[in-house]
Amino acid sequence: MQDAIGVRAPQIGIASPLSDPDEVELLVSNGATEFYCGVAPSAWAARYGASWLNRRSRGRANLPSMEHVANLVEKVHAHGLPVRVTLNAPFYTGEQLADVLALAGEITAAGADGLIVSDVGLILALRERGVAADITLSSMAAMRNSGAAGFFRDLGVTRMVLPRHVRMSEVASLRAHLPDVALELFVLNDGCVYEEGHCATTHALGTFCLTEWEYALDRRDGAAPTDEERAAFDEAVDDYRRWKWHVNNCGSSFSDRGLPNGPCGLCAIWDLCDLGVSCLKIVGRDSPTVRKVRSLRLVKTIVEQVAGGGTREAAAEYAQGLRDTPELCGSGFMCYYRDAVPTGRGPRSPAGCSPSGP
Amino acid sequence: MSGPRLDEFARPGDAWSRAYLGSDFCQTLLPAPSTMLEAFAALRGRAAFALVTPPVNDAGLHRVGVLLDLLAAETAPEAATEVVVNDWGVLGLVRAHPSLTPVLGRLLTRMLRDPRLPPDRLEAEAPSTRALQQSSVTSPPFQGLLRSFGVRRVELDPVAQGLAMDFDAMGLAPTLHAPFGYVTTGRVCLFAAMGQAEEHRFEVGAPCRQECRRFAARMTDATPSPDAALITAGNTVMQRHERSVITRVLDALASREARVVVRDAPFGEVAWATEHLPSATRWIEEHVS
Repeated sequence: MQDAIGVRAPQIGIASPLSDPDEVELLVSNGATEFYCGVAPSAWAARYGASWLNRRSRGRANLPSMEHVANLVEKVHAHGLPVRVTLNAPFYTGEQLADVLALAGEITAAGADGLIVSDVGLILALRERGVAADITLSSMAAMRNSGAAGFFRDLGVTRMVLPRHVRMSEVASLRAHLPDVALELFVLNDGCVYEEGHCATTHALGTFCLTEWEYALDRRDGAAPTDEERAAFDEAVDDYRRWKWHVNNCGSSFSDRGLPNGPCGLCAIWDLCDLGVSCLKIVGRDSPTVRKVRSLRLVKTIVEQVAGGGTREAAAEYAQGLRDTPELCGSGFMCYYRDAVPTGRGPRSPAGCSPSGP
Repeated sequence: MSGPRLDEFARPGDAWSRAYLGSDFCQTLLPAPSTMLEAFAALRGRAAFALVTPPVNDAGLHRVGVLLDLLAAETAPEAATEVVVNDWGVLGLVRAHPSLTPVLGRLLTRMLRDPRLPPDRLEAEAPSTRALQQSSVTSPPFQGLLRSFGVRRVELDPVAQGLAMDFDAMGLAPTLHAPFGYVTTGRVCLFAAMGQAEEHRFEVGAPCRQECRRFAARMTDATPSPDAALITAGNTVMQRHERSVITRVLDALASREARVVVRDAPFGEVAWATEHLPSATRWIEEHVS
């Protein structure tokens, strides 16, 4: 597929989900600079049932075997790009740890460039056993302050994926406190209603948070809520349902221009570049290939716009214009970083997005 | 809104030897320094104190640091003052205060607490069942890390699938919360939206008037088991567990150092704890159906 976007490669990376070796060529040509994938061996599922090996084990999110991982790694490496593999269940028990470690060893032997991990026990065990893998902290670790970042850095983590629910000002604070830690930030698709790293439900039983709950309001002092209180709550619930729809990729829809709707940080790319964020993460290992491709085009287009010298405002305006869904963007409910949507004029071309190639 | 007061939930009896103050789940609910010190002073000589802390950003970490400095300055080593931590950054701060004892909170004692898990369909003695009945603390490297940070006590919720962990063998002391267990939590809050301008609703970190201190909401749907009593309390979904579930889990703990923490409301920021299990059992019989 033709690369219709531009020629200058910015310093900031774009991490694409990958679930099939046949996707590699297409995703590289549309702007992926690195990949992440998962594996779900049948032996794990047979032994541990609903306790998945990684956060997304359903359907096509994962490769079925280590042979597939090795094949995929070879294809990605042929392009000179890295691929990391998720072992990011919220936790592993002591009994599971030996099996995860064995898999980690196989993944590393297959040539993968790193592991994406959230469980502290696994991070420690990988180091103790000398598994030679770069460790990226998964967003499942729900790390959001400099003390926790220092904790994980001291455990040997080399890059950290921040949680979905984070403010740009918090990213800036982390950068200021720990400039040596590489950060990866969500930029497109698949929101979470709750903090996934603190969610104790399992997707193996369906997506708990997308249930259409009915709510009955109670006052904590035992009195009956007033009509005004009920009205305010009902309005909040109506809005909450609308917000959840946006979080769920706007019903997995595309815009009239064929671009993916859903959680989005395109307007924030200027700021993320400015802060020296290492990589932008596109979510959706289980997405159809077409969604991955169009997501990459969107992100790469904005990165190129920023690298080309656009202002913060121009980049945001361009980002919103590409999708041309003012009703979705205007709600703010799709925004990963609502506090980063620019309201004033800013400087041009942040240093983090200056072109690194010819 | 004013902060939590100890008289929100009266001490159930003399055997309830420790008061908990604070929230496991929301940075906005960190107590003001004066509120914390007032509660600490009121308990002096009567009961021990545990400050409960939530996950925090850098601003919250600073606020927790101030609270810990003040608490440590007021604490004699024999007071056994505890800090419940739900954030690795906070654990690092507690380590700087030898007079404060860190306790691993429920958000870091990770295990499945999904109300939809069907306990009657679990296969006994199967690895798949044990994985549901155990937590992150069963991992030996994790236990080593806890030891290095001086953590001996870990906090748990009742779960319908039951627990299968030998805490004495792990060198850990378990604390069980009752009757409310957490299911999921996050930074976006339905109740905060009641008091927010439309453009800030469901925005992470937007100003909040703490409507959760006035309201909660029962949740109903056909999907979970019909007896799952789910409640949205602030930014968190809690489950009110039945007495049979709590009792079964308590029996399974079988630890010499087991502790029970009780609340009278799902988002109560004041709780009482006892290690005298007959007293805990009596409270559960009297207050939980």
